[in-house]
Amino acid sequence: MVINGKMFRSVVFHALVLGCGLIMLYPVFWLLSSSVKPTTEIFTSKSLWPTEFTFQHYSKGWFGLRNIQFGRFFLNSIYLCLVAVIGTVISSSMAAFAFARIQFPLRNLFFALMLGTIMLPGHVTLIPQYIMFHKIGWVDTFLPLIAPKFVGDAFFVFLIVQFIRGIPKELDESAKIDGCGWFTLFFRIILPLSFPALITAAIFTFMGTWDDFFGQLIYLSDIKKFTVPLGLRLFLDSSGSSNWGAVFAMSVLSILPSLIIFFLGQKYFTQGIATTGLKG
Amino acid sequence: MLNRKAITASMLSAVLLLSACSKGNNDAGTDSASQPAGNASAPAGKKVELRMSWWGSDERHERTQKAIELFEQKNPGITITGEYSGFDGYMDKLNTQIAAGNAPDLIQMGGNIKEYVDKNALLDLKPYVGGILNLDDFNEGLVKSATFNDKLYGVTLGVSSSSLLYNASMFEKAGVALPTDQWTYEDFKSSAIEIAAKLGKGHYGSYDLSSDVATLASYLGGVGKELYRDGDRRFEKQDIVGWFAIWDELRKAGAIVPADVQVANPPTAVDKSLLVNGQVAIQGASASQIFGFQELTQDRLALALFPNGPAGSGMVQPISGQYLTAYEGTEHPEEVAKFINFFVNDPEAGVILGSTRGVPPSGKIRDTLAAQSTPVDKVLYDYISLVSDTAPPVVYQQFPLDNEFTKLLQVTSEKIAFKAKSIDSAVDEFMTEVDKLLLKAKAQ
Repeated sequence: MVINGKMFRSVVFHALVLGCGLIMLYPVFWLLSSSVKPTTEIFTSKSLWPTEFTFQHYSKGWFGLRNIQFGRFFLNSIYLCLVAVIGTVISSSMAAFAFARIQFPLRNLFFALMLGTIMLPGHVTLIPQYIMFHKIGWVDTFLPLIAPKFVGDAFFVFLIVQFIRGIPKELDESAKIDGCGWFTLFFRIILPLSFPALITAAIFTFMGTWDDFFGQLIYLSDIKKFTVPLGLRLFLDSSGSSNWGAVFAMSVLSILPSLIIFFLGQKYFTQGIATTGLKG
Repeated sequence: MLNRKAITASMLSAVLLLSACSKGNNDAGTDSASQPAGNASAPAGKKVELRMSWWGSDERHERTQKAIELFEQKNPGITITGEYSGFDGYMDKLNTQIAAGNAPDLIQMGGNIKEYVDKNALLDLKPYVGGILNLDDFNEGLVKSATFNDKLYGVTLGVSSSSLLYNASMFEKAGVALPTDQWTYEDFKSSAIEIAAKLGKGHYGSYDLSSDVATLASYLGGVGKELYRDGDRRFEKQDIVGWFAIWDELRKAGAIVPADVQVANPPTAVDKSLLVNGQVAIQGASASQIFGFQELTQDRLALALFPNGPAGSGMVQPISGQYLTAYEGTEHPEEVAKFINFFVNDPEAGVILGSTRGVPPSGKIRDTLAAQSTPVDKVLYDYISLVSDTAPPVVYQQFPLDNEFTKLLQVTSEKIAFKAKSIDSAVDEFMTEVDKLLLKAKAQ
């Protein structure tokens, strides 16, 4: 009886979770089904199952633009994301190490200033930043999107600082006794131990860059440098006609990289978030 | 000890950073120094590079690029780089570019052209009219719409007109006669009620258009009034009460979309409109939007004039939907004017571009195109011609502070639809607010 009751509760629980999951996944199913439906059916038919399967949206989306294939946008986006991830992880981890472990004058002031930049809305800095990059001659290159990543990102610095503070100081002490300087301490001890936090920062940066539309829109003008978010919008004209089928087909493809990255890093991802802020 | 080390380290990194920065500056310096030299040698080879920005979807991108290539063939020495995107963010990017003095030479612009004229961002094209730029084929209203302070800031790319977009298949299914050129609000009401009744639950004869400014303006024209002229409103409280009474009657008969459903499925968004999936038979739309709607459904869509009132038609003459404008800071104004002329007058370019930007404004181009039009093209062309022929020849004046007026009408309409206020008290408030807006507009 007891086992039956337990089993019953577990069945109910799982059915409920499964149901909620399906509801949350509905938009994704809708997207998938719309990408293989004939255009006239996308907004008219309520059924998720198309009356007729068509893959022309995929070919139209991939090859349909003049002088360029959608694959180019994928390569651009991947390049941008990889460089952004490398830049963010290197610069943020170094800054975080300094804030967490090194006593330098005005440390708290600088830390507060850095946190202050998180509160600054992006729109305030947008135009001055654009003018600056325009004067340097960087507009319509990837540099305005990449270079800032190499000077740290306040949010990730904060995240990693919290994580490093959780690493026992005794490890530092013994490393120092064994003759480690700041650099060896950082590379040999702190960096390997804060791996989950670094992965978190990397995944967040990847997804943020992959999904970023506005920054890329502002700085990139040449279609050969377009990224996936910009490429998707090429089919959309809210004031006129849009090629919805192609948008949905390419959207399906564009969520794949994020999905793969997330599943690969999932283990560290949750660990990174769960352990920051807990003193060890 | 440690502290001192740390200070040295941070000093060191600061020095490194500074030198990195100054190196960057030097690079930029040599870059900009070498650039003028490149430009100086350019005139000898007569190479002019222009940038043109527009928004749209893939079809417009393709056709525009083809037209640009044709222009480059015909005008060796001029190259035009297209900077194109969807509509999302287009204006934001443009604003940023203008702020930085880096905007494209040629800019596609929508109804908000005045905003950019006020920012002094656009070039006056008047000096080129009659010479490089030929506008003989354009009707006067279209030229006037881009003329401010006696200067011409843009050339119309396509005309459109407000319209009632209807789902003809639904009319046929319900056995209701299609709208005629002469239909009245009585016809409109009986059609809507009949369609809703015959097609059953979840189907409506029309969207609630009481919040639609274009429809209201035509209604006022139909009762012999006007929305606005020369600084004043030209309507009274009882006109607005009459307007809301029509919609109230339809609402009570279940013939129009209930307020809550309409908020969730606004007719303005083609992907949410219930016209496309055969639930609502009539909505307001700009006529050229029929392309986007028709693509998404197998039902037959068509365009109807706004119903006539006791004083006849309240329709407004076709208006410019989009303009091609030039950036005030362009270095090659003549070439820019040359391209604009090519874009709107060249028959070959006209065939390439088709009606991707609405109906072409030049009568000659329109005639060339009519010969090879698709069924949807034909519906649109016929409608635009019908409006040009039947609409009263008065020049429509838009209500000043257009956005605020639109919002006000929307709020008033919703107050009534959601039964928060009676028609009488909602209209009282509306009139007070309208007068406040007029005062505010005068003060500006």
